[in-house]
Amino acid sequence: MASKQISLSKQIKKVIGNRILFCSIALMIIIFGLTIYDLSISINQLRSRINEQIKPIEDFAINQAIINNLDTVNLKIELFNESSPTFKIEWIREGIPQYKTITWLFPFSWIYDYRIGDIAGYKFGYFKVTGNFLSDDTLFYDLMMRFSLLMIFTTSIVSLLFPLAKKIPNQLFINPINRFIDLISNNAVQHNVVIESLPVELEVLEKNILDLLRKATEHERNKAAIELGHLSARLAHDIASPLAAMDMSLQLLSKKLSVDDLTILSNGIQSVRDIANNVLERYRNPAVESNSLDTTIITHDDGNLIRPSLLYSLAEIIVSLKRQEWRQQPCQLTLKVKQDAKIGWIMASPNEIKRLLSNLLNNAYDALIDKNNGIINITIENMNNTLRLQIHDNGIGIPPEKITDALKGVSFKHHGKGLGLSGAKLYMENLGGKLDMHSIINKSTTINLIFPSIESITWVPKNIDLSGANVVIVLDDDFSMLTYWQKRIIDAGLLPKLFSTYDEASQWVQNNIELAKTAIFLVDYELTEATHNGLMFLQEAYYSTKRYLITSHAEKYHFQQEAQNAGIWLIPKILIGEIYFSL
Amino acid sequence: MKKIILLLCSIILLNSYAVANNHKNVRLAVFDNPQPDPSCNANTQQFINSYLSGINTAIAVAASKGIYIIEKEFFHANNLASIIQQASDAKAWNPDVIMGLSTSNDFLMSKAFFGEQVILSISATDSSLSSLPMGFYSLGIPDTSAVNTIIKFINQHYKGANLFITAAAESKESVDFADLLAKKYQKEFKNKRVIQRKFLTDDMSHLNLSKFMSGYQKNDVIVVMSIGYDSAIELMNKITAHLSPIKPIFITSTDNWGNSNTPQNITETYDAFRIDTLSGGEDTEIYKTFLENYKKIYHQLPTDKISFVTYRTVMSFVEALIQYPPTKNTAVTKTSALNSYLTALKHDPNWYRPPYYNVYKLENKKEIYFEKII
Repeated sequence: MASKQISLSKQIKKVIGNRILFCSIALMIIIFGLTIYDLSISINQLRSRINEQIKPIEDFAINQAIINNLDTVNLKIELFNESSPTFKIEWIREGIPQYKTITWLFPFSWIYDYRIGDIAGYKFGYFKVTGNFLSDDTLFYDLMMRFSLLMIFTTSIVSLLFPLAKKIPNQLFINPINRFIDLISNNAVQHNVVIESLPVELEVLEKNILDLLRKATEHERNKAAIELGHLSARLAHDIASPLAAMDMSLQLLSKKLSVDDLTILSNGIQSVRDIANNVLERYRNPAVESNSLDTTIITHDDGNLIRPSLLYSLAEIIVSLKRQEWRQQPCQLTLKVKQDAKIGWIMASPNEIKRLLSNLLNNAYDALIDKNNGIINITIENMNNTLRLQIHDNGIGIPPEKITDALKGVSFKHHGKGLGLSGAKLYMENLGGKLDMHSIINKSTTINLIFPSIESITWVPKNIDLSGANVVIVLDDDFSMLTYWQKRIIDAGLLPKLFSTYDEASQWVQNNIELAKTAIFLVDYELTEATHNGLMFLQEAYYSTKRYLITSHAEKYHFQQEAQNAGIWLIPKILIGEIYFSL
Repeated sequence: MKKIILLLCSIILLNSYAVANNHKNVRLAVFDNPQPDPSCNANTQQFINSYLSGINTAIAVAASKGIYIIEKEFFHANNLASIIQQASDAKAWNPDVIMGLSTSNDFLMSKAFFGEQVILSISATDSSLSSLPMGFYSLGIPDTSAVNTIIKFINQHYKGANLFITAAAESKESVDFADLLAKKYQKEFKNKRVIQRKFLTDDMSHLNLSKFMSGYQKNDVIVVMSIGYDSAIELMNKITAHLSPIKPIFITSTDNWGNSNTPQNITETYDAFRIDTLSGGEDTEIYKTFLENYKKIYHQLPTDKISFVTYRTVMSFVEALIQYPPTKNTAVTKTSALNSYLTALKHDPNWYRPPYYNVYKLENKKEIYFEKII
């Protein structure tokens, strides 16, 4: 049952108004009581005055009545009445007094029967005393005083207290609250709510509400874009697996296809991968804008930590970004990675590497005079336990004598210090590597980045060990990947158990626990179910020593830590084709 | 003063002796208002002294005749509470005879407090006194006689004058006297105009004289019946000032308890005569006895005629007891005193009253004997 709604103004009026009304009535009753009390005193004083003034007439009347000289009494009363402004008397010889106290007669008159005392058995009747409140100066003054006081108090109460129930709450609470409600409801203040001077606290409150409203509006505006971003990121991620499958299939088909067809397919796959990489990078790091990567410090996630990073992966991301960035005036930008260099890890901050590569590629692009015919080639290869990333362009080059200056930070693009090149050199040296540069004026420039390679990556397998296993359990929500793994597993002579959902896989494992103990687990990290992921599935299958988590997040620090702690192998999605089964 | 104390001591000794020898003792309560005129505050104590000196003289004379009087004063003020209180006290004292009650008002009112004994007024004259119960007797000549005297005086000196009678309304005596005079004068002089006006003594200062004196014509005789001598003269002064330059003629029957001085300065020019109802009888044997004994006691002549009036009042019941004693020669009681007095009145309805009036002409600060009217 819904409670009866009541507005704040009515509630204030009810709560405060009732109390004020009660106090007002009580106060007025007190004043009225005091007035009545004072009036009773005044009336008693009037009675005393009457008694005092009538007493001689009473004596006179008794005296004259005893000696039977009654006419004189009337004369005395007549003279008294002529001279008395306050009250008149009339001698009633016989009868019983009715008004033993001063009694009010509407509208302003009063009456009082003054009983004349009996003397020696004689009865003398009573005096009927009548008067008018208005003609009695003293009483009239008292009445006016009390009435004035009553009016003053009433006026004070009405003018001072009653606004507390309506006007003041309206000013202090209702109007500001209505204003805030309007602000919140309509994001605008109605014109009829006018608040002359808002208290400081309410001003702060209003400012905060406006700020919140502004943020909420912005949030609303961005919500669709964010949703779209999520969708795009999801899409980009989801197509990573099919792309990987297509890439691996293309390798298998490379001997059966013509070079042109292979190039077309390879370029097509690469374009799709570029788009996906671009979308994912923008989603993961919103600060990445076309030109901002050079100067913006990337703080997203754990990207600033120095940790094992896959150079191939980083280079591919930056290449994809640059292709997107330069799409208006594209050049020929290629990334070639030697087979053994694809699994080359370096110890560096991914963000710094990306920034470094971005700057160097920008320099190379700027050096291209004719963009359409410009070429920027990036190659990654293993060289004597080091990884070399070479950027070669056919731009205008740098005079040999100025290369040293360039490496010291002198910019040739604009006045000032060439922080990009010098910073890259310094960073490479800090990593234990080096940066060198060769240029032929008006022909080419080559920059070599030499990274010390690291061998002790314990959570990335060199290959997938199938020994001692009969069953390979594959969990991936992408059908193409399942197909890819199925083919590879069957080719390896093992039985694949393919699952596209967490629950199916989990259910099968529970039902076939003995088989599962010797099984190999190949599990994609990101699954369709929002509540579960591949890592969780593998953590449940702790009894197996051959658990492989396939993910595009393998370079993330916390993934690496989790995998290491749980004894789970990480297989970067980009390296699926590069890691083979071993028996 | 020493002589007075000596006299009082001798009286007390005589009383003690009389009580011891079972002589006729009389308890006498003096109940009176020594200042009946509210407008007069002067010489009150002198009048009280004169009042009491007459009584003391009578007590001495009575003692010489075997009547021993124990006297106590119950003087009251001019208000009802005082009257009631003193009357109650007097009654509680249980007197055989009550005297005083100089005004007709007091005397008439005393019927509410006293009765069934001798109650003597020294000077009340109102015509309605005849309606009082048995035992009430005033030694003043009744106003019926005073009216005749005034008419006689006017006829002798202002023959054919119209009458303009003013009376203090609160004084029953004055009102009745005015009515009586008006009726009598109108009856005797049918073609003369008689106008009556009443006033309240308390209100005299606010008196509207134009209204009050409307109808007055030059040479009209103005009769002033007031509650006292002072208020009479005050009214005469006011009227004269109002009528100026007419020189009015006034006749009043009020008294100053027999003092020959006028109580107030006469500030205007007018002819005024006072018919004295207290005096009269200075050529009688009783007056001679009074004067002789008075001089014996006080070694001087009485200052005020009131002394003789009180003397005469006391002697009226002393002589009644002597001439008409109680049958069994027992001690004097209320009843036996009353019986003796009633017997005396039966023989002489004007028992001990003055035989005539004296007329005085008022001068500034004094009055001069004018004539005697029988």
